[in-house]
Amino acid sequence: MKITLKYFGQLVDVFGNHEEQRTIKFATTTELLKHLKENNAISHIPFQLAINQKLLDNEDSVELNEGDVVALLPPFAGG
Amino acid sequence: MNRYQRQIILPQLEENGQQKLADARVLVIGAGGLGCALLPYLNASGVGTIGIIDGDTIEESNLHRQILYSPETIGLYKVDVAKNFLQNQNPDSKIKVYPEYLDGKNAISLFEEYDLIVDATDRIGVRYLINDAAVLTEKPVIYGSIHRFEGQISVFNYKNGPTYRCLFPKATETPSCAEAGVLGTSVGFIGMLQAQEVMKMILGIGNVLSGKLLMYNTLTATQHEFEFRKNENLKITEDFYKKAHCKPDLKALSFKSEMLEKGVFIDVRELEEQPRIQKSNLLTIPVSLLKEKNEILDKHESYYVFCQSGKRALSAVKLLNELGFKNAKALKEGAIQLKKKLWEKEII
Repeated sequence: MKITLKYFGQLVDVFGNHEEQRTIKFATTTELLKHLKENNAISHIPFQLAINQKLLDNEDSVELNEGDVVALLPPFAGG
Repeated sequence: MNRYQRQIILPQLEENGQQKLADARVLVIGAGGLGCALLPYLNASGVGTIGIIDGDTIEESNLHRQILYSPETIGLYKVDVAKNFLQNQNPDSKIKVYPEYLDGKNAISLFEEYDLIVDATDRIGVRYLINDAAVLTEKPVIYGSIHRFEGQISVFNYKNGPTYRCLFPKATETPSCAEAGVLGTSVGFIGMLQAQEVMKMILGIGNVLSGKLLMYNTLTATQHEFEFRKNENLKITEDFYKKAHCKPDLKALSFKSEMLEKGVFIDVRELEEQPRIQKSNLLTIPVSLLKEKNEILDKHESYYVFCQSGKRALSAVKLLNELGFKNAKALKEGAIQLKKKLWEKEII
């Protein structure tokens, strides 16, 4: 299935863009997260996941659907 | 009231709205990029009481974005210079400044004096402190922060709504403006969005960004809004607050002869470290064995802990305190200075 990934803050540097479409084989956010963490140097960046503009509770594993927009939201520090 | 005429004619304000602004008490934490942007606007529009807390002094590298400061103010406390500016700008406002950093000890009593708390800080750690103190004192927090060209804004604990911990339960430190770089216009823009939330909340108009995280990219001029819910399992209690934010600062004491009568000395150095001190009422327990051997100690006894430089003594006392030895204190003197003092006083 096709989903859109949106990146913010430091994650833009890691993934090299603000947004990309990916065709994935995973069914849940847990699997997607595992895949992203295994293939990208993001373990030092805290972030929360949002699907279709709604943040997930921290431990939730949510089923992904065709066309979902998944956002990776890190907290910012600057001020 | 001529000063406020152009805003009073707004049907959303009128005289009543202006009075709400005059009665409002807003605490701004941080007088950096965000604070410098939002403070003059809140002040100009007649917010009656503004508190500013920041222990920082002005540096040259602040001037490109912290627009209340100028080259001749370098080295001065930010809050003092900001107060000068704001008092000139609107002589009717009451500006209270605190040239110190917010911590677990001053936060609660400070928050109690204000209605709204503006988080204009630049570290993640202090945002949890602000959150927890705001929950305990039941104050809403207007949050803003920035990473390079991107900003995020939200309102926490508004009418018992979601908090920073609901949004980011376990964030760790991420780069600040000093580390990541920032344009003055970007941080100013985010500060202005915070100021607008403050105005809406005081006036009771519009929709408050409670339970919503607004992400704004100042390079692409795009924004995204994300919804988040209150985590009902999170309970901020006074106990939790104390544990998280009120760790007592351990301070080392200087040696005094009366300590010899009052308590027992503990040398926490390793056995091979020199010089050794031979004396009655002196125990030798290397810091690495302290936990294991603590049953030989008495919880009602006073202990004076020393090491070679003073550093290990502090960590040993921290450990002893945690183990329930509340009367353990660290000595400033390392073994060399301590031996010299004992020698001079003809104790050894």
